[in-house]
Amino acid sequence: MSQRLDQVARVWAITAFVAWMMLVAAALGSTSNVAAAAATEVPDRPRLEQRRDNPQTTVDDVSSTVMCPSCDTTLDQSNSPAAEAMRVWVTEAVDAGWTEQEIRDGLVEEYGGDESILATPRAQGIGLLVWIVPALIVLVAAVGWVVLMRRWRRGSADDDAQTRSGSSSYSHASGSPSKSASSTCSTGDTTSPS
Amino acid sequence: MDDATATATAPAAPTATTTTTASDPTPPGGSHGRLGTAAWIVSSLLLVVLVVGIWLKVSGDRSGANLANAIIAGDRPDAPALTTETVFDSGPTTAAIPTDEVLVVNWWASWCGPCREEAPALMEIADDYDGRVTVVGMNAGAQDLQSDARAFAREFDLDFPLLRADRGDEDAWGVGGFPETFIVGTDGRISSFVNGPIDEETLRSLLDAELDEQRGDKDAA
Repeated sequence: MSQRLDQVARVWAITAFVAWMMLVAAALGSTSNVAAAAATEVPDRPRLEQRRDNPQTTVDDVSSTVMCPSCDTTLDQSNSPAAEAMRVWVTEAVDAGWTEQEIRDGLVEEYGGDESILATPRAQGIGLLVWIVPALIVLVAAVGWVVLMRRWRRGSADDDAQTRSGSSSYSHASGSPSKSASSTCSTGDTTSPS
Repeated sequence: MDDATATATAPAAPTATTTTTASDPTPPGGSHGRLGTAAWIVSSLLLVVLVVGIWLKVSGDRSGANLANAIIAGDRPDAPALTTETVFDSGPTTAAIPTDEVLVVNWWASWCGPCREEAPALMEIADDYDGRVTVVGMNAGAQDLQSDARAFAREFDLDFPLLRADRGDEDAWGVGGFPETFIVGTDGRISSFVNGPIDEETLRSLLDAELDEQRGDKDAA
């Protein structure tokens, strides 16, 4: 009994220690990010226009929907200098109460109207295809699946009917219910009463 | 890829034909056949689009890479056209860049450390060689926030023409990283390029060599 208690205590201690370490790492990570942002702040750039009093989104939310401009990953996956500069701008926009859409639009403008800065293109013009085509493929696949299933079911039903008519004596012998009797009836079995 | 096409298309065609022949010549069997053909056409089209898309993505614009190879091989390739987009709405434009002067086309981004280090040297060169050489700052517009680029220019008081390049310009010049500096003669051809940071001494010697060569050409003519 006491041995089991010891085991439970040990597991608890290890779990608590790991959780504590993760907490410390997370805290350190966030403070170091803040420090990096502060260090790279651009002195001669005018502050972004304050649009609302409260933040409408988070830097993390925006970072997963925009691309790092110098690498082929989203912003949250990159620590390159270009990504850091972008993150500083996004942080400033979040603090100034910009919405996610406003920040995305602002970034496109800041990068010379280049929409490749967006990880998910806008749902207009050619970008609309990106949203429509997958939905269309799923729809076509679903319809195809239903059609195929129906055909298979009909095919197997026909097969069943053929097997049953072929071995009618077996189905009679096994005393199967009236369904098989009717199927034998329809194939013109003269032995069963009409 | 061809194998995939073969395996994808091969079963589709027989299915379409077997359905029409195996089942009775009733409407359902016919519609299945038509559906099979439609599916076959649609999937073939999608495959073509996919292949073309991948090919376009992979091939890209290789003219920039050829440019660098030509310079390294000792040729003087034609310099790609300068973009008319500028970092500031007002200030020196592309049209104001003299055609009878040697150009120093310097590619930069505000977040690039070495660009920061060489900015004062570029200003120095622009002043010293005034009337013979024009420094052109090519900002990597697709990789640099415009407000950051402007802040950078203000910070270093850059008063030479500052152009804002896009991805197409980067490809045309074959620029991979920053900074990168090209010397363009008055004949519109690139005489040399430096990949990475450039110090004032190197730039001076490259410019002097180019100016000497042009003086020689003029004398010969």
